[in-house]
Amino acid sequence: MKIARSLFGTGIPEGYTDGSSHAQIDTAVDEDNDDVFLPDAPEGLSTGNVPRHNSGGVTPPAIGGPFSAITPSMWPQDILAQLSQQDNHRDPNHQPLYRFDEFGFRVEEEDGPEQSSKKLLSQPFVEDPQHRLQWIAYLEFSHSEEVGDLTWDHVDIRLPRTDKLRGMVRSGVPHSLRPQLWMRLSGALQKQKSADISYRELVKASSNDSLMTSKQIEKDLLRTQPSNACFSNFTSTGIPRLRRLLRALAWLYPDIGYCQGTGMIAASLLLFLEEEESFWVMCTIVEDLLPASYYSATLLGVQADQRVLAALVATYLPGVEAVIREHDIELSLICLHWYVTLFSSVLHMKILLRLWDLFFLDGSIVIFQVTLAMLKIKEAELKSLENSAQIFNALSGIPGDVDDVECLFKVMENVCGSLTEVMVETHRRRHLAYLMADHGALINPQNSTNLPKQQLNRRQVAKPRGVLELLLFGDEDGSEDMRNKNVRQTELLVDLREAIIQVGRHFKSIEANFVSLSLNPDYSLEGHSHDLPEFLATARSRHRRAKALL
Amino acid sequence: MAVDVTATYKVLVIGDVNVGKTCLVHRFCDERYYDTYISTVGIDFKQKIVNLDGVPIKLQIWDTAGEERFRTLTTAYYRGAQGIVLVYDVTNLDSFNHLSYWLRNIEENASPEVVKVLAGNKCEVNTHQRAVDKERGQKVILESFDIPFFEVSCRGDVNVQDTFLTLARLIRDLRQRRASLFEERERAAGVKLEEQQKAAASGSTCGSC
Repeated sequence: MKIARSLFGTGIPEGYTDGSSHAQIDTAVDEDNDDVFLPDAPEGLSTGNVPRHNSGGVTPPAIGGPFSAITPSMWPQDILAQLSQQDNHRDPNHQPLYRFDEFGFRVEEEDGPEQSSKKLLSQPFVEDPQHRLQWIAYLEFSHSEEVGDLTWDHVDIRLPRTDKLRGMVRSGVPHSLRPQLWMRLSGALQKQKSADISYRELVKASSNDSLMTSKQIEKDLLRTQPSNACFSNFTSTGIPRLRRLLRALAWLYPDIGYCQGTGMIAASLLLFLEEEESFWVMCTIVEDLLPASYYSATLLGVQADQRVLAALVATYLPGVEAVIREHDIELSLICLHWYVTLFSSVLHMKILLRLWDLFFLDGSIVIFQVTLAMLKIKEAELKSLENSAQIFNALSGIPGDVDDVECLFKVMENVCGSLTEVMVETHRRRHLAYLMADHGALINPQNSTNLPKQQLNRRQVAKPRGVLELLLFGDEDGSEDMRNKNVRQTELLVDLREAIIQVGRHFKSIEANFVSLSLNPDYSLEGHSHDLPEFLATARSRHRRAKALL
Repeated sequence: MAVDVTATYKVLVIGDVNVGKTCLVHRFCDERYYDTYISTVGIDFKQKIVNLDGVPIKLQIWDTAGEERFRTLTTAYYRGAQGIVLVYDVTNLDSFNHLSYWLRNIEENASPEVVKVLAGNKCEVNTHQRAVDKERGQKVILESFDIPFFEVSCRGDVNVQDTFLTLARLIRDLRQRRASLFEERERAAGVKLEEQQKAAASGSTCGSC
């Protein structure tokens, strides 16, 4: 009980605090051993004018009650105050407007009985103290060289991947430790510490951005998680955070800008992590955990992954594949948004948290594994259905029907335990190439960026190492060199092509007799043999256009 | 209660971002209205059985994402679509100006026989909120595109049913026309076949002697 209180009551431990509630933590320190995990310095800070609450005026949620699983700085004080008043003066005639779950989602009354009939989802979301102790013991054991009490400051910023850790993540990260552990599992903490620009600076830089992206973000803010009290109207606790976070992301990654769907992931993160942490986890997702062109203007990466999925279904689930093929169903129509939102738009939050535990540990292979497992569970039902509309409906309903995560993970192990990252990568490369060939017609020199890059570009905020320098001298890491060299050469070609197009565009715009010229590249050999003499003649005459311009 | 549905029509709802496509589909299928919807990522799917002059017809409605980057995926959506509801927002001039883009998109990707209906959404707003007035909408549409046009309101439930029912009726008429054409051809082919058979029969008798 005490631990439960320390987890969900006023004395919320580490990572669940924003700067101002530090005092609160001190008062909550009692003889409990868990409190050695208190942060030395409060780690979560919110930028901007987020309402700060002091220990006096805060109404904490009831243990296991509505809003109990979300980070305290997101608590909607108005609703919580109403709820506690209702508890104090029990008025039998008073019906609350809505009920909310632990995560702040509105529970539709008509869904009530249906929800509770589901096995896992009907269990209250309260952490098992044993489970938490087990994790703390693991962390202390792996940091045994530390003398004295272990604080989060002394825990490695990346956790070494051990079989023990993998096993423990598979059985779930204790919810109270999720903020700290997600940061360390995903690599977000490392990214945050090594970044040459702070989140605060990014927020500032992106705040006076009055571009189209900001307009679109504004339109979507209330269309992201409308059923959650933290995101349901412009005064909700989560909305200013979501706005700043999405703008900063769009600013940092000009190749992506704002992509619908990312807001859904960000909003889900914001429920549990402070704003700045959520931001760096988002950066890790788009830079490292997912392939580079996932959210790019062409969505090439996520499209390629749909083809990878189709290939994996054919390999691992021939039965399902037969049904899909017989009824001519395009699986990507159903699965694309699962992938774009990392399942946050379709899975119940309790299931999603467990999936993301694994995703932050193992990366994008997990989304394929979990899709295959979900399809496997439905295989018998899919085979029994008669027409394509029924099958299509059944397929779209699959994630919403998942209610037993242990079963899901077990099936995952059985169905595609042998799937490796290398296999996924190989498929990805092949399908990306196919897609680029298919889209050949779409690759249009009028677009400013049109070829997928191997690595996602950040907006340059500090002087980077030159591409040539990197190519010639390489990184410090020798083993990765060969692979990186390939990647860099491709990058270099992409940049070169882009530069040529830009030069071409420049001359087209300043000289009248070039206006009708086509910038479409001619890669044919005939074209080449035609160009060569002309090029040589120009080179011989030493008539250099660029020099003349100087 | 099981209804014996005679046919299923696949209908696609397309248009710019934030014009109210999801809202329109919900209004039609669930007869409900909410102020906000989750932005559609990729595609959503709903169905409704309508009574079309006494005949039950199932409408399979595909609600698409309006955001530009999701448009690269549209070729897959268009496959097999028999009807399209093209939506714009009367308070958003851009969404009206983009109609020609969408029509070109339909031409490039959908079957040439696809039936289209145009819907100007959010018509419950007052005149100064409007960016496209009704007369202008009608005029441009009559001049440029020859397709049925409705101003609709999901909030006020104006013309929502009519839009989809008109589309369904057009699809039905097209199918019937095609079916009768097919029968005619069948008949014509059948007559020919008989003649051929006769000829063949006479030939064979000839050959046997």
